[in-house]
Amino acid sequence: MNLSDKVNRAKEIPWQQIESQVVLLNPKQNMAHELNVLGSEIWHLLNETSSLSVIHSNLLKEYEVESLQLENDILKFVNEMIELDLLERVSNVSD
Amino acid sequence: MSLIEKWRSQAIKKHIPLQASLELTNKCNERCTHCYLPTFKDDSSRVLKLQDWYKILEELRSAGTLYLILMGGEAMLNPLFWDIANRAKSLGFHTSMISNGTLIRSSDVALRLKAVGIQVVTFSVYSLSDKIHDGMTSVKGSLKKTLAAIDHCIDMGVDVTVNCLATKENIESIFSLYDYCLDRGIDMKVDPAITSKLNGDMSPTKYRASEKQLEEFFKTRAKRWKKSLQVPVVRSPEIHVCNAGKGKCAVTAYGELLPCIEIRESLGSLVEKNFHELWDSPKIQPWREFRVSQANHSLNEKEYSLCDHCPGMSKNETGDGRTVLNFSQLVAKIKYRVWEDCK
Repeated sequence: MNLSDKVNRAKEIPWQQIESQVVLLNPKQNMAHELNVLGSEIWHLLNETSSLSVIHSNLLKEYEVESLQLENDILKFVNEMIELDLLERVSNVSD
Repeated sequence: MSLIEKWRSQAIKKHIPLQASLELTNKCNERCTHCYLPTFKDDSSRVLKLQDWYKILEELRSAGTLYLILMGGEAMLNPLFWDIANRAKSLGFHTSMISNGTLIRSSDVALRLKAVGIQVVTFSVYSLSDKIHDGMTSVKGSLKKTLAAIDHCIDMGVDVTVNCLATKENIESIFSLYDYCLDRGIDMKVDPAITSKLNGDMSPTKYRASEKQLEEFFKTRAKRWKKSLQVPVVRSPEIHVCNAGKGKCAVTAYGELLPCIEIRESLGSLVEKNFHELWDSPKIQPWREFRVSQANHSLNEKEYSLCDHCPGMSKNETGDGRTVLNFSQLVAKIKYRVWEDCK
């Protein structure tokens, strides 16, 4: 997984913004998840784009953070969410 | 505290309606003898259009609702049911439905429910005896249809729960229904609270179970499942009686916003106004601020802690939400006696 990858929100995941955080329900596992502030921002951005590089550049403008640090944080978050079936990797035509 | 409890408590504190019940229609294809609805039809001049329901869903979404409950009457009798459910899914709600199941006539319908995002269907079942169940719904063959619908939903992977209202007609047959649910891994809730109709007509209350029947029921249940025994925990006089107007709300078939499904005082039309214009209005404050110390009853503190005091039901039946219904007090006293006997 790297920033050239694309991901989508998994379908049929009920979610809601409560205060500054996004909460998700995973019906398959009967589990609830609370995203941190960065995760919540990524979740919202995924409504507009699947591109992790676009998400990275948007967040870089918003937060005072090193580019590499942000990249690591995004990839860690995305990997964990894929593991939980809350995000889905978009198949690359060249794969 | 679990994550869900944390959100719930945060929602109550900040008046975020985490749960909303939508009465999609008053129409029903059963005629339950105990039902609180005065009529089973809609006023055609007030029926909402699809765009109205879409606006309501968007308003609720923005207000913070996560759990949406579609109900009626029989929710599936609204011809817009599928479009409304589909829209709810695309907006990200967790959607469940309360139904008699008679319109879930095949696995294909159950599959379609799943496809439009219905995560849980709560079925109203009163007994495994046709005579009793069909007698209560006034529709011959209704039990058979409801049980078939439960099977269709289970087969298609839609979660199922069962609600059973305990009345004088069915209370002795409830344990066989418990066994049926246990065999299938279905959660089942039993509630003896029969209320008056919304127009004040008291006729449904004649079906309430007797003191003797209720005592026998709670005792037998406690003997079968010790965990079902409710332990009295005294509530602080300052805590709120319920969650109405804080962490939950409801919307009528005509788009009127209510503090909860039981409190039938309209806060205004959610079609005409935005959610917060209604939700933050002075009209809701008395319900929101209603505390244990304000409840009128003759119970001791421990008995009251076992009392399902619903201010909405009290208001409909006595005209005063603070007055705990005599029947609710009786049930609380019985539960307390059973706890004393079985602890």
